Parts: sequence; structure tokens; C-alpha cells
Amino acid sequence: MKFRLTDQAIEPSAFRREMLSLSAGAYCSYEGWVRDHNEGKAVQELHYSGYPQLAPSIAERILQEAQEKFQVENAAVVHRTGALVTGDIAVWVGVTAHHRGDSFLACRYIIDNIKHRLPIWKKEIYSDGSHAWIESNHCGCSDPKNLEHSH
Amino acid sequence: MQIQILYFAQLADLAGKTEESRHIQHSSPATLYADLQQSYQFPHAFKQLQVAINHQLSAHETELKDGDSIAFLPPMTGG
Repeated sequence: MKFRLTDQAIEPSAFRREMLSLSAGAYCSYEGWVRDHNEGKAVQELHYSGYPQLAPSIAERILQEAQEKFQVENAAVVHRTGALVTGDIAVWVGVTAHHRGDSFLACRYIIDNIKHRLPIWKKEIYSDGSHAWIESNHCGCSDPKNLEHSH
Repeated sequence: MQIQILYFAQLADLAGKTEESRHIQHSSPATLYADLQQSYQFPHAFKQLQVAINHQLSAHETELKDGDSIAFLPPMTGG
């Protein structure tokens, strides 16, 4: 399992099991959750739509880059599509490595690049009934040295 | 030539469809996008969008061929 788009609830424990390895000394994971607000507006749902014929090749490229930049044993990404409510997991990233430093850095690299390179788009549905397509994930935060910046 | 156009996100909402087939007289993605802007009032400038031809990211200047599919991709917001 390297990359998966799914319209089903993400169960991190199942994906973690797939990462288990006796030769890895570190496992780092990231979960992106649907929060109940954005830029002062109360968020009720997020609708994710994807480009399933293109997304796998982009995700695999990002994972490959992470493996070239860091000493990573294995790395994987799962991204939800469809309608999600607050508290749902939108994305899961898992990385195993011999040592923790590489697992942290690779996990950060992968999620930062997933956010602005994977062909997936999110529409926020607000509690007042309005909605908006979000188009501002770009922030230049994919530099793994830039750990001060996080959102 | 005949081109299949795929729509995603806001562009799908504005077009009211996720794909359509169009007959075009030219091979330029920029000209095609300008036509679609006229039809659907897409808000993005051409260079704000990425272009995928036959499900692969492609240069904006790539020439279209008969039977190609093309998608104009708004800024991506996964995660």
C-alpha cells in the first residue's frame, strides 16, 4: 500500500499495521482532521473531490521524492474523498525509518506536498448554508527546514 | 478534432457537468480555455491552472491531438 483514495472512513490502526517492520526503529504518522472553523466561519462539512486517474502518479512521485531525500524505509498516504463532517480524518500519512529524525522530516515533506500537489480539491460547507471552494493551500511551507511554520 | 474535457472542483460546479466532448478547430489549450471561460464564466486566468492531457500533467503550450482528454486544474487543496 503506497497510496489510496477512498470514500470510506480512514482507520489509522489498519494502515499502521501495514507499516509494521522489524527493521524500522521509527514510525511517524500524520492525520489531517476536519475542524469546525476556518477563517472565522463555522464549518459544517468538507467535500473533497479528486482526479482519480491522475492522483496516484502524483502521490507516488511525492513518496518517491521523500524516499530520495530522507532515509525512509516505507511511506504511504491515504486520502478521503466525498463528504466529510467535523472530526473525520481527511488524510493519513505514515512513514517508517531506521531513525526518528528521518521519519519526522519525511512525514512533514509528504503532507506539505500532498496539500498543494495532489489533484484533490475541498469545498467548505458552512453552518449558515453557504459554501466556498478553497484555493489557498500554497504557502511555501514544504521546506522541511521551515519547522516554525505550521498550519 | 474531437476533445474530451474533464471538469473538477469549482469548474465542474460552474459548468454543471464533470465532462463533455467538444469539436475544436485549433490545438491550443489556451484557446480552448478561453472558449470555456466564455461558456461558463470560469474565474481563473489560464496560467493559474495546471493542465492535464490524457491524465498526465502537461505544459500549457502542449498541442492537442484528436481524441485527447484535457482537464484544467484549479489550485489543489488536499489535506
